[in-house]
Amino acid sequence: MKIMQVALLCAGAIGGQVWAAPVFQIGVDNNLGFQSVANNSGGPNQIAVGDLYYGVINVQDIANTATGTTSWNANNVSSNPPIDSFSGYFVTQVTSVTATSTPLGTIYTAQLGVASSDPNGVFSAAELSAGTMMKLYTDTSTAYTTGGPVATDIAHATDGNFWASLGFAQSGDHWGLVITPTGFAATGSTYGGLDFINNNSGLTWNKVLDTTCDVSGGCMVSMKFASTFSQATAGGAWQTNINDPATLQPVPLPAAGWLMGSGLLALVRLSSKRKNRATTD
Amino acid sequence: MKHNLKTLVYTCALLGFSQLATATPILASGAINDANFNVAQNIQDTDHSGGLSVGDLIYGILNVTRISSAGNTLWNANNVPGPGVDSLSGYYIAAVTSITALPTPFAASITLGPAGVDPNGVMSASDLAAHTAVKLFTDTTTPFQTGVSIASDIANATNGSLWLALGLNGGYWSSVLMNNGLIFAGGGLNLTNNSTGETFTPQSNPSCSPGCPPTDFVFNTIANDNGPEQVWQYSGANNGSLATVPEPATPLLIIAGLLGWAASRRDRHKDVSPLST
Repeated sequence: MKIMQVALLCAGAIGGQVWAAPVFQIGVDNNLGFQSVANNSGGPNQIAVGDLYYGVINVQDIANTATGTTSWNANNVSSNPPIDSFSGYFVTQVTSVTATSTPLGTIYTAQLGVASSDPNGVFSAAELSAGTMMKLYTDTSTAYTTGGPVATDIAHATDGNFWASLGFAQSGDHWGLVITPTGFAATGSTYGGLDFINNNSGLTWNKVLDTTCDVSGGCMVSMKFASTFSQATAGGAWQTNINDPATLQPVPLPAAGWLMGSGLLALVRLSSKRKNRATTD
Repeated sequence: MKHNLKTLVYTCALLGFSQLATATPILASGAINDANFNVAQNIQDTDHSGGLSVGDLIYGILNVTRISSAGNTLWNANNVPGPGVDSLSGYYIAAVTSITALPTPFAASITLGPAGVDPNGVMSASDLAAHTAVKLFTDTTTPFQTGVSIASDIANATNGSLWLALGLNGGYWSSVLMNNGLIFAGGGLNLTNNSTGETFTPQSNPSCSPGCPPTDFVFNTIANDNGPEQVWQYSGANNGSLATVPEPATPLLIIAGLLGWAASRRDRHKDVSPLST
């Protein structure tokens, strides 16, 4: 009996740490820690209406937003299989640019929208017309790369199993960009709220509160994100580095609930046995 | 039966944790290392003005989730309560040195300097005199937590062994506050204590060129305002980087460290067999 319980817990622990699919904590806000690299079709250090921003994303870890407890880490080391990556691609287009004169210098803010075309051919015309801005994939065979060329890095980020696509699907969805003047210690930030266009994750999702939209009291969205935005070292395949948390909240499914419940029961029984022993030893 | 159970437990522990978690963070030598970390932060209204003013303190806890170099993961935190905790976490504090009001949609820009006091008692008088702003600890017993209470969250983030400390001695730190509650910031800090076994070379913050001096550690941060009713009002995620210099002695130290670690694990297994009765 004990062996069965330990084996169950063991499978759970290993599944949570290393295996193929990203692991979320159900019914609470989950933070996706991710890194991204991007290019601007208009070239580095400039921004204009119509510019396309595209890039690749690599989710590194998933943690409970409130407690910080990690439920999944990417194993993205090609020399240390099995690879367990959760990566993707995005493309978006600048719809407006505002220059604000400040004592620091000019700060630019931009609004981003659904791209009219995808220069890298990842999104179909149908996906773009549905509002798609981001596609995510789970992958156990090739690691995420950012060393270029761009086409190779995009191919690595978008192979594997399609997990979900996100974009502008309801009012309140938005994506903004701020660029600070040269000489300031931070280049800027990018932030927004997106909703699922196509959900193949096996989970259903609650909405999370995004306070960065232009609506008093915030907007309820499937995924919110707020990221720093900095220049990459010159000469590489990508101009920009982006570092984020994104937040999502999965809803318990009846089947997932059973699995979690049985795991928790096993845990409780085990810990109560340990406690009993500790008091009697 | 009991023996089988133990074997299963050990195999499970090894399979589950050895691949991802070792006791100390791993850095690549002679390369730029990127550290991703999350923070929970508060602002102490030192002069009780009800608003942000020069002299107010910002302090918070941070949790390094990953170290990578050239996109390859070198170390992941295993921050799951239970055996095999492997956390690199810490505490930071700085004082507001200037505030510049900005037009909407921005609220203000602030610059930060060394704190003169630490209301949470983590930084000693000599730490503060050295302008220490960040202390990072490696820990294999208690995971990082947020949201329990300020004192207990700080205690969990600062126990373990001191790994390094960074200060505003020759460094810089500035941030922009937006009306929607977002705060983004960047800066550069220099080592005030280094127990990592590596030596570091100063690097420029590409966002700050020209104008900022090269420093041992450069970082960018973003945080959201969660409202004053939370244990920590601000939470965010960040990226910092350290450039290491290869050292002839380092491989030896790493090997010695790994051997020591392996030995200590064996000892631990001997001493603490959670299911033996």
